[in-house]
Amino acid sequence: MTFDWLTAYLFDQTVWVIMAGTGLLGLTAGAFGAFALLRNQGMLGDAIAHAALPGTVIAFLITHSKSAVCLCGGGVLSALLGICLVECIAGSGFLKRDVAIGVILSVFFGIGLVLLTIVQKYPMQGQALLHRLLFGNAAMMTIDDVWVIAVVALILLSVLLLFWKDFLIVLFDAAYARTLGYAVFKVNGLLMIAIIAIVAIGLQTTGGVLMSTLLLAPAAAARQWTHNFLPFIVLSSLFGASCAMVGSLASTLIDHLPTGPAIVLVVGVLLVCSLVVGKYGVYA
Amino acid sequence: MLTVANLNVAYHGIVVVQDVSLTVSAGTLVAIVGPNGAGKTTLLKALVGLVPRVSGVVTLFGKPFSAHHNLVAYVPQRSGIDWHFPITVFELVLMGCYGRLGFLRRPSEHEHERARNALAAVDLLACADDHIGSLSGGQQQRALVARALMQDAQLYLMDEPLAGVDVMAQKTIMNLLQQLRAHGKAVIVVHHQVEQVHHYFDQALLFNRTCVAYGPPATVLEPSMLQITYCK
Repeated sequence: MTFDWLTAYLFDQTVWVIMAGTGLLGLTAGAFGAFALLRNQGMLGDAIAHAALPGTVIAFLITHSKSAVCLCGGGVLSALLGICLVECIAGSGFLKRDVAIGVILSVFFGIGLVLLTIVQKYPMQGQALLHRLLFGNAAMMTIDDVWVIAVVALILLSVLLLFWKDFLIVLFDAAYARTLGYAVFKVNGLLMIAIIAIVAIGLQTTGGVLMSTLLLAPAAAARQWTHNFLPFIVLSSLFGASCAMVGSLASTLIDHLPTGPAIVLVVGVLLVCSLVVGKYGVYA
Repeated sequence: MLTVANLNVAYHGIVVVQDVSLTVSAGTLVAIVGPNGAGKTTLLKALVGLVPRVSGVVTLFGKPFSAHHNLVAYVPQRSGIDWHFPITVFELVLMGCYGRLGFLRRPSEHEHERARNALAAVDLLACADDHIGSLSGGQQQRALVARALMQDAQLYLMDEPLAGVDVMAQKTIMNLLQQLRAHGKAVIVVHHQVEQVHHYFDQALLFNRTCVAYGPPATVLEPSMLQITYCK
């Protein structure tokens, strides 16, 4: 009986839509998360996710649309502003970078929450949006959302393939790259924009609070299995995709289980296992 | 080949390199000798444009450095490298050709062959597929030199390539420097061992914030000059 129910569930088109969307998101987040990890900027994803919140809400307030393109667009602009402010504050030398990230992260998230109280006055949809942006809800994912994720993922993964060696050399040894004539600022900027775009599209699926985990945890887990660059990026992508799919599937199976925490729990288990039994983990 | 005229560098208003002028010809080995904190690394970085110059002109073949990125190979101190980064020794050395390839182009079999040759030149071919973190200090230094060899540059700037390196690795690197000189390349090396400078180098630059003396080691590395450089 249970088996029949599960079979019917797995053949449900809605489930496959959700799996495809979150899988693509996890794949892209895992790939670029690996680059964020190698930049030693673990807090970057967190800062971007929190800084994207006010822009997403403002986009909703202006357009009254819940389409992924509209909300992502607002999120990207807001995150760009937040990261630019972080760079300005850190670059001025008055505050260290981690302090600047902490301050901007909190202030932008605070603004986002204040704006969400306005959205709550909208009947029903405001409550749903609030919950979705904070904790994620893959169950609300439509086929249109998946198309947006697919197009963004395709563009970003193409960028990754095209600029593979440029990202590699700038991340490994920026000073040496500069002596070879690389525009290090532009390569870093491109990487930053790619990470912002992933976070913005992931905001509605995993939520702003936990998006950075989907970005970093698969990479941290993959790092315990390989010392080679290509396998590291591929493994991080696969970890991200599989964890996102399993987590979102669990959230649709279990009532009231938000997608973000479900994905984070799955990826958290994978990370702990990798840290312990990974080829280069604690046990090794 | 290399001409430096009135080079000045300052950090936060404090002068670190003052009024340096020198010329380096092709096929010359130059050693920069000076105490810790003398600004030797800053001088090299200023030459390749990694730190901004307050004033002065640096030209290679009569043109600014920015016009000759592919003709200059810089070997940084190995302490500035993240040796936990997930790449193999082969991938590290292959980076040396990225500048010539430019954007979007990938290394072909030709570049792979050159990387293997560069690794063989520093006796590291057997470690090609190893993670860079598994290398010893001397091997790390040789890997960075191999990366510079990949550039097939005309001018090599090396920041303490012999620091903390065992005798065998020192010998390998010094032989390489001799070969580069024989091929008409100019090499500028930050070096601490004065007796080696006597034996291997054509020119010595005694440096402590500014150029104390510059010329053949036999005339420059005199006790009185060294006294001035190290006790300044």
